[in-house]
Amino acid sequence: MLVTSYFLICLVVEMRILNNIRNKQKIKFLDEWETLLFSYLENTGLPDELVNKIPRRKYKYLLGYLGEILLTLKGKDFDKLAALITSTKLSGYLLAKLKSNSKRNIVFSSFFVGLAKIEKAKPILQMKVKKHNDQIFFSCSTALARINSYESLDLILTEFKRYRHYGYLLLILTEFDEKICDKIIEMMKTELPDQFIVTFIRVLRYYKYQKGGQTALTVLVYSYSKEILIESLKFIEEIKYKNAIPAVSKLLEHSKPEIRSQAIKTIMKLDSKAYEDKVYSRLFDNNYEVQYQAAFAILNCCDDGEEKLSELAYDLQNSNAAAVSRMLISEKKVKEG
Amino acid sequence: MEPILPRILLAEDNEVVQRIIIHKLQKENFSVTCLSTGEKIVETVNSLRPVLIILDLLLPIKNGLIVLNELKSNPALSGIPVIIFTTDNNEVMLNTAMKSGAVDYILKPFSPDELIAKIKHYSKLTPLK
Repeated sequence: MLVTSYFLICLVVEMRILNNIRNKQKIKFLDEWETLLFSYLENTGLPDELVNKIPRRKYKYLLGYLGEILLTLKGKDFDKLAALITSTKLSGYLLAKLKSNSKRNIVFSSFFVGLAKIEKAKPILQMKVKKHNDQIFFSCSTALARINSYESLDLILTEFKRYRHYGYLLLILTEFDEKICDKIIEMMKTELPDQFIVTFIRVLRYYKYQKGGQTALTVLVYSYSKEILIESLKFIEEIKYKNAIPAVSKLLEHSKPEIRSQAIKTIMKLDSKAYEDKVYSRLFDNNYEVQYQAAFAILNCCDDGEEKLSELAYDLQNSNAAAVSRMLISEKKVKEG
Repeated sequence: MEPILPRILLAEDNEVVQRIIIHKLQKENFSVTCLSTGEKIVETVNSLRPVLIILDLLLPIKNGLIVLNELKSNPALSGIPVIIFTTDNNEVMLNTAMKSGAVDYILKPFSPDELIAKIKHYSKLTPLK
């Protein structure tokens, strides 16, 4: 026990010392080279001239700096800094690392080739995606997405079936630019597993892709899956797709309370006036969440919402609806001070 | 005698982003003070009286929305324009910030040129060249 504790303490101390050394080296590097990087940004010098001055053993500091900065910049400064990777020997350095069999090297280099959009990396990344390793798959797929390699989409989706972390798939797909939405809409015309459809609709919602409205409406009419219906409703609400109003209104009577709740939220965003009465009737639903959503929508979207809820607030025959109404009116008054 | 440069307060926790913004603003003849947490922003604004504040919403210790509300509820500081600077493309959070008195926002990834243009506009200054 004592020996284990001793070794653990040594390990922690060693890690802290190493971390301090690395931080000092990074700061020293920045002090030495940042001025050059900034003057390069101000249109003096070519990418090669700068990178050639930096010793190869310091590339990792340069890349670490560029990585952080490329993630937060766009516009001409991004292009200039990306050129330090794409138009210099750094690109060869990264491609060599990407070709290696080391997981660490592949993950490291795929991050930078993706950020800097090195087209030449595409065939290597496509090969690595098939490696049957989750970290390599996610880093290389993300890189392909950042390069906007639409031709790799089928490959990514096929290989993804091995991993099934749909949250990650969403992250990968949203790294493509907005044009991915057209590809997704095309794919949604074919038969797909439910989780793929849910993820695809989330991508359309992320981009607020107006042209996806008709696809979401078709899904809304023909799907039986709770998750798909809820995602379609959220997307339709987000893009305010009015053509879907009749289909959404039908879902106010759906057998699943989660869908009725979401349908209330959506319909009130699309056309609160026309569906006020229908939503009001949901105050007497047999599910509390639906009642709450209906009361919330009435209070916030109708001109006389507060009056309507006040009338109901002490109705003994509808105790649940009365309780929800009292609660929301009281919350509103607290908020208004 | 050196001219007194208009001061910008930058509240941003990423050191690399801080360094590039400082460089860009200094080139435009602004003086910049940086803070990496939300803890002492109000005190610093009180003592330095910057012409403008760039405020990240996701700051450690005290988040940007709380700081913004504190600034706007202080009559002596409420007139200082605040530009929200965030990675969070969350409309609700941004709307809350705008309703709380921020003049504008910049989403990361950002273009330094756009940031500078907004700073110049809201600080109503023609930088001294």
